[in-house]
Amino acid sequence: MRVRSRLPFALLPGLPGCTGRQSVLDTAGTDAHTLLTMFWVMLAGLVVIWVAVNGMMLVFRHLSPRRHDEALARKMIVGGGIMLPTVVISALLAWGLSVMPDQRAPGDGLRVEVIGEQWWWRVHYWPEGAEAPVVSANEGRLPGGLRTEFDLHSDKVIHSFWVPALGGKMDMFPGRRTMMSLHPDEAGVFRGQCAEFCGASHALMAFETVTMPPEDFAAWLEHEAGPAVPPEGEVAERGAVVFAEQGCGACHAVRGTAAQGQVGPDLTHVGSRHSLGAGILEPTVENFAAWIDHTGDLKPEVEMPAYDDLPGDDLTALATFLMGLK
Amino acid sequence: MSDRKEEFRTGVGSLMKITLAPWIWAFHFVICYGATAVWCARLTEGGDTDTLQIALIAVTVVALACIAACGIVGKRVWTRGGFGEDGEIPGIDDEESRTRFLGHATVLLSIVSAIGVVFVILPVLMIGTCR
Amino acid sequence: MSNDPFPPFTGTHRPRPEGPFPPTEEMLSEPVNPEEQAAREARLREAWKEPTGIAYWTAVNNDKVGAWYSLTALFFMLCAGVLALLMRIQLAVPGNDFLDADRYNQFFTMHGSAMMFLFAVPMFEAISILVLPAFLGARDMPFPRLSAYGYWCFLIGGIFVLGSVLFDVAPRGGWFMYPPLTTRDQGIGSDIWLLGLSFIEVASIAAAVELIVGVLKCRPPGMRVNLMPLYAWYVLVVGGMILFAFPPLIAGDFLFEMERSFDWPFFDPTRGGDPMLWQHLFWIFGHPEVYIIFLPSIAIAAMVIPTVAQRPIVGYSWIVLSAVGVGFLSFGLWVHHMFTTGLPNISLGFFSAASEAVVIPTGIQIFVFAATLMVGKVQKSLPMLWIAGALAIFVLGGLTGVMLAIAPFNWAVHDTYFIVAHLHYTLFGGMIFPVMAGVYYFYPFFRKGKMMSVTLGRWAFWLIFIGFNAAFLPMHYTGLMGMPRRVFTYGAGMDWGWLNMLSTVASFVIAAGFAVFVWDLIRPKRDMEGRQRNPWNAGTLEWSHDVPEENWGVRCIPFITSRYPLWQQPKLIERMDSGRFYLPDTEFGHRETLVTSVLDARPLHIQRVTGPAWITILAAAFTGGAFIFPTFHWYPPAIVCGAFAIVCVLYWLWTTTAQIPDAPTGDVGLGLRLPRYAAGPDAPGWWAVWITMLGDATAFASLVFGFFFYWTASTDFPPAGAPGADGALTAATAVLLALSWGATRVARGIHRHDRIRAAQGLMAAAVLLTALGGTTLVLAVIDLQPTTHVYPALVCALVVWLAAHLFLGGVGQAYCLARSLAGRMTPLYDADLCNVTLMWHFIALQALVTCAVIGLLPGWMA
Repeated sequence: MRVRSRLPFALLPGLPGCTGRQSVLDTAGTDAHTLLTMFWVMLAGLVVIWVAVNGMMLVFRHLSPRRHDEALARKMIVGGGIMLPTVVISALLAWGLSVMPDQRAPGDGLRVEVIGEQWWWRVHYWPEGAEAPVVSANEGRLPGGLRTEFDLHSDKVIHSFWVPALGGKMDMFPGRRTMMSLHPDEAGVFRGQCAEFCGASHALMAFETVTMPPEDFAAWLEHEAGPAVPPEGEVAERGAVVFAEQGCGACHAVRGTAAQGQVGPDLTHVGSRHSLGAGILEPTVENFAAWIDHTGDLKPEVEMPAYDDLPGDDLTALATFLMGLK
Repeated sequence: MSDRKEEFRTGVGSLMKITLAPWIWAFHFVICYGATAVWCARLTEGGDTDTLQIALIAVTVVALACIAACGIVGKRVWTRGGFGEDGEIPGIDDEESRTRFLGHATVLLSIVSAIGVVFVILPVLMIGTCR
Repeated sequence: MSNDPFPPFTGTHRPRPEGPFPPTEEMLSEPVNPEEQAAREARLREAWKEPTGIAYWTAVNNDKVGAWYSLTALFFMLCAGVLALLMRIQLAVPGNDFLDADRYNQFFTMHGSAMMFLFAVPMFEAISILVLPAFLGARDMPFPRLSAYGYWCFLIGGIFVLGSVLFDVAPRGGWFMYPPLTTRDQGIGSDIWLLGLSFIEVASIAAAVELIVGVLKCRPPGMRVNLMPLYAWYVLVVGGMILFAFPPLIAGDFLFEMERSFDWPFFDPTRGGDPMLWQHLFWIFGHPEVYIIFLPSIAIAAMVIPTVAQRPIVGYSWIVLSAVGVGFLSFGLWVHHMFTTGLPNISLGFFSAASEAVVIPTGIQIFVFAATLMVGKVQKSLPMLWIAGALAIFVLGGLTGVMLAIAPFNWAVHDTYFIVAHLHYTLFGGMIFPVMAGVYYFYPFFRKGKMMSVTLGRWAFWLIFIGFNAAFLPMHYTGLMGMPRRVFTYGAGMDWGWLNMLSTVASFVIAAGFAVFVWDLIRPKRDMEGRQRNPWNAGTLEWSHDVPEENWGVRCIPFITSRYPLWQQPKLIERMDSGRFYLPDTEFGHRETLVTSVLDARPLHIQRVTGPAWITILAAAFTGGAFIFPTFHWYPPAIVCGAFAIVCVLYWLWTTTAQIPDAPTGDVGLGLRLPRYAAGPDAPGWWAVWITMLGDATAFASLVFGFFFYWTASTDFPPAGAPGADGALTAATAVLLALSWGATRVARGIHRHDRIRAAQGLMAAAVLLTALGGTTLVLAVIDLQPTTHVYPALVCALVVWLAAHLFLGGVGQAYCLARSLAGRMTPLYDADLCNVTLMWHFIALQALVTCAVIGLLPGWMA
């Protein structure tokens, strides 16, 4: 029936992330800037109105020895209940509506197709005019200063794509396509996370987004499109053999090798990513080994089986091989 | 039988009359939402909304006119005999004051419904695309 | 009827109210002979005697059922609160392993579901059942057994749903149950949610029907609509909202369970389905639901504030505007839960606009309260402290709501802890705190003069108030820092740890406050001295209650000419106590209350009220079986239970409703003589049928909406060349059912004119026609394969829906025939036939629409 699991929590403090990398308040994209400005303005209004209303209640409850005029009270209902909110809200609504189209504006060329899986992200880059995508997983790379369009859908259940530092979020449906666009204007690494409850490991479905200068992005994309680098060193070579022996290629693709599986994340350049296991672990040899050794403990109900009967040496070799896939 | 039907008609009828303006708001809302959904999903090529805008503005004008009519009728009932200018309804235990109360409620609901209708048409005016 | 001392009334010559109304001051001040008075009191006491021993549980009085109802809802709330505390422990530190992912997901799902379905809505119904008759000077609710039935359904369903947590099989897909996650879910959790809560929704609709009828038809003579206590206005609005909000969810549950049980692919995109339909149906329910919770609680504030200010409310009609306005606008907000689903910006804009517009009527309420306090002489009291706390919290929740209604900002914080904070601010401020105020305020009414402790009340208030703000205010920041909702853990690197620890510690302060409150509520108060009848010096009718307690509700039903009768009608209490108003006696030893007209509350007739019964408990148990067994896919016992439930309900109707009275008319005092029986629009039962069928029609409309939804959502709906319903058989169905409706309608007409045999013949023909129509209906779609695509599935769903209604409609027609043959229905006493005809108006409409949708629409759409 249900898979019970215990996380070996000694590993979890290794989760990547530092203050502000997943924050709406610490922005690095034009859409996010707009939303943040909106937030501060609305917060100021909120504080003023809250203090005014509660102050009014406090005064009337405690400091109201003389009887007030009833006609005045009625005027207060009209003024405070209808006129004031109508004016304030009309202005706010008009502002809100006016910024909506920007956040879904067409992109400047690059289209990124992101597909939500249980619980990871399939990422396909479609540069303008491309006939086939550049396939990657669990990480987003974006050129700064340009608007990139996201084409979102999902495999089985609903997920939601969200990089707080860059902009708003958009749900990903099976059988439906949704669209959004982001316009980063600062280079950096920002964390995104699935925002729609998607089952047991919803909490463990994240990704890193790297924004970089357009020319760096172009270079990176070219490298990403290429085949995997061959293993370097004895241990890594042994790891490649283990990879083949254990049948990892049935689910995972490492382009340029026999491994062409499409079920799990593409691992062609997995060693160059900023995180492991869809944003939950630092990419180190130890963490690769830990992940392969007990996947279900690190990510409850994950589809990849745990290879906990693999000898320690093989495990390390496999991890070293994967870390080497830069 | 007819006098019994009367109870249903006058009873619920009068209560429903005060909700006429909100019903107009609701119909206006459903028309805007439904028309946009059908337009963007089935009728438009390329996502322009010009025809939709014109149609919905027309619907809005009609809706506002109907709400205004409700409000005017309500106002007449409410202020019948010169009462109610200050917002209070004097005397509460006769049929007349009950009628005036219903008139007053009609006016207030008309105001809120009119604001609601104007709010709802704003997106059509401000967002000119199906994206 | 041969020795009937009264004039020979017939079907066309029916008794009418006779005698003076309104009563004059002289009539009211006429003294009553003390001996006569004592004899009347004895008779009333006997009629309203409470069952003792084990039979205590058969009681159906509103004060008993209301008390059980509210205590059960409180218990469920405490259970859901414990789940919240366990979740808070898990989140206290990053990477915690106190709960595993699966159990955490069960807990947060159950926390939300239980708080909404087992606490918030039932609590409104419970409090209303408890206090509404007293607000209206009525003896009881119009249908006490229906309240009892609703309560037992609620209890059984609640224990079933909440109990699943103990067996580790609770639903775990969130209280919103989004497919495909939940349709794909293994195990029975999702079925428990769907069937258990559908069962409770049925009970909610039953309560809504009863409350609406209570407010419209059971007010005391003279209480015109502009004199109703504000609470009654809110109940009316909320009852109406339940009728339009719950049915879409029931329709959604129906589709959902068909997918889970029989693989009909309504939400499966690979076979033409669409998970978005569920989101629409769920939130069309879900957002009004928030206001269904909020309005009755604010109604409590509207009762407390005039008492605190010691003056009538300023701006009565403004409150009415506000309640009605919120009621309407709240139906235009549902997509603001779906702002990130990628709908066109314009569509989102409509909902953004309506979500902002609802602020205006909501704000008016608060300004009305402020205005009343401003011109009144405010007396400090515990209830007012809770109301002030409620407003402080609610206003903040409302203002963050204004922020969230701006769609782009919503894209930033949707599904983060910002939302968790916002919704708890609105629900604590809009529901918990006002209800607590209500408990402190009404406690002397419930417990007949006993009071709750001021000291403990202050402790509870400050613990909950401080704990609440310390727990939930930081969550706004946690959300802005990027923490999504519904995560069972988070990494240490995210810097959310200290915020979560703060929230966890504070949540235990809230729990401590509730512990103080619950202790104060249940601690023995035997030594309570100085029982005061009206300790707050309030002006509304409930404070005329009898101290010590009497079981009859009110001694007599007063004549009302003001909004605050205890302040504005000086001799009212004295006259009520001495039985000088209406219905001070019971002529034949039955339980009775008065039914009055909708607008002006003119007395119309005497309504016999039902007494204690086991049958309601049995009916609820079997209904429970019919909903619970399918969870385990045990269909035969479910069908048996369903059949027994129908038998129980029929027995209950047969033995207690629309009974031929002992005499056609009765003396209600003050010279007024009223009919003892009503049929058609005079009768509460007719109104109940009308209101129920309105709700039913809403559910049906939701299914039809599904048809249009799939058409706009997909380019190949209906799929080209897909087989549909058989045209000829569909047309035959429409004709047969129209004839069945016509036969019923004509039978009612000629039955009144004493053509009993002909009417019986028509009723028999109607049953036959219904059966035939049902058969052709099923044959029309027998070849479709609903598992292959959503189109045949939806056609079949409409057919299943209609077939179920035809079954009930046929039972109704047969019931009338049997009543007539048994001599329990005569041309003069024909309420059953009137009600069944009314039901058939709705069934016939649904039948014709169904036939058009499955027979004609596909042609037009393609």
